[in-house]
Amino acid sequence: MKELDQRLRAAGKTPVPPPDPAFAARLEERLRAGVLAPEPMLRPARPARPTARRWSPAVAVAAALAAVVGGVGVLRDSGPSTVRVTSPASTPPPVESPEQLATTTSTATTAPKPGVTTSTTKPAVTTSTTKPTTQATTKPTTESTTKTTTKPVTQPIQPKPTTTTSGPAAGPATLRLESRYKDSTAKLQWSGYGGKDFAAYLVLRADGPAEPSYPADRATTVVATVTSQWSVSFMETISDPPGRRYRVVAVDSERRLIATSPAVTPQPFA
Amino acid sequence: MTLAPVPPVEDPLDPLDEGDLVERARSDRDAFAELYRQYLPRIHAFAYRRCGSQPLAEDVTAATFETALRSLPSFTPKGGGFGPWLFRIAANEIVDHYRADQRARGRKGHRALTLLATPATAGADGEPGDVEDHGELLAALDLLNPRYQKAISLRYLTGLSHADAAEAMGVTKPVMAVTLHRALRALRRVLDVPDSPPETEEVAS
Repeated sequence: MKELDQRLRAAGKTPVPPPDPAFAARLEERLRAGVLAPEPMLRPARPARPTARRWSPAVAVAAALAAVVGGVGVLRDSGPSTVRVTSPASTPPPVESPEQLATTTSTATTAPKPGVTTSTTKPAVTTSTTKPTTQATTKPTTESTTKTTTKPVTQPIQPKPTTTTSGPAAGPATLRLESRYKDSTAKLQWSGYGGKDFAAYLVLRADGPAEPSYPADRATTVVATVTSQWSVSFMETISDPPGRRYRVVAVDSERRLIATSPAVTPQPFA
Repeated sequence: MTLAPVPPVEDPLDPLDEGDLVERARSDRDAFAELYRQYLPRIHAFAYRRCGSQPLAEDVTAATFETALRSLPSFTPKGGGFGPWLFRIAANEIVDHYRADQRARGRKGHRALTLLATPATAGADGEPGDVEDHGELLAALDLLNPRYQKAISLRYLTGLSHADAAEAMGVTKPVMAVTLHRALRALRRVLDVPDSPPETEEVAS
């Protein structure tokens, strides 16, 4: 062991050439300018595009049942109020309370880091469901805790996209946005965008009186990127929800604005 | 050709001054540049001794300081201060480099390259055998697991004291001693060096 120790000590005293002065100067210049090599740990930004939905068998069966039940309910009931195929004036479905949603969704209740895509995970799928007919079927007053139970008589069907434009319109389309909060949980729900140029929803947040804007300014935080066109809800745990303002925008693959909601302040759950 | 040893850093920073400089460097690029100039020779020497080639040493050195600049806001000074932290970053960069290299080339190819890439310097007394020995040691070191590689590199190739090397490893001194002992044992196995005979046998002969 001593011999090895001596060999290693000798290796540690091996004379070495000094750093190349040109290299040293270039590196110092880069460090001063803050021009660093990309951090390998961070995932590079990718243009958002709808990802393939991942279904668990249980969710697939539930969705199928909901579609059947919903379809039967629609056929049984008559009256225009039960069917709203497209309605620019339709209001977004009422926002469920966090407790009810807690039993049906595993949406992360912690605020995701800005810029982090959340919609590719299961929770984003389960909160909004795949088909509009099953989305908002549970009102806070209903007893059902599963989204497969529907009451078409009282429940408006999840409003379908408010626009069907296939390309960027002259101006961005309008999204309806509703936001509620309870304690430190804020919940957002918005009307979907149905255009073919959809790439992602961006959930924007600003503090205090500032309004979130897109492109995001210094006062705006992009709290979530939802790449599923039919995921129209978002929930986060945050302090002082009524002191925040949210906006949801839809962007295309070039991150151009194609739809936007007004800025809203979360309202308390009744 | 015999090269002069790395000259000691003139006016090495007083620990208290270094602490102040590190605090300023969190937001002042000039202060960070001062730290860079202080530590560049040592980090480069460590990287050169460990990697055995100038280009690799420069890559590791650049990666070390870039990572340090990026991570400085979250740096919490402990006993040894900025130096051990910086050497830890350098040791991690070296391990990452060798992992990637081994993945790319395979273990045998990597070992062959390491043996070939011996430092182009002679030992202090000009013995060519020292060059070969250094290359053999490096090649053997590469075959150890990353933790052992770091322990040996930080203890022997940086000029750090045992306490500072332990801090650079992120462990206590006793843990460092145990880790080092095991690392040396593993290195000895790789080098196929027989165990030193017990002292009693030496006395008897």
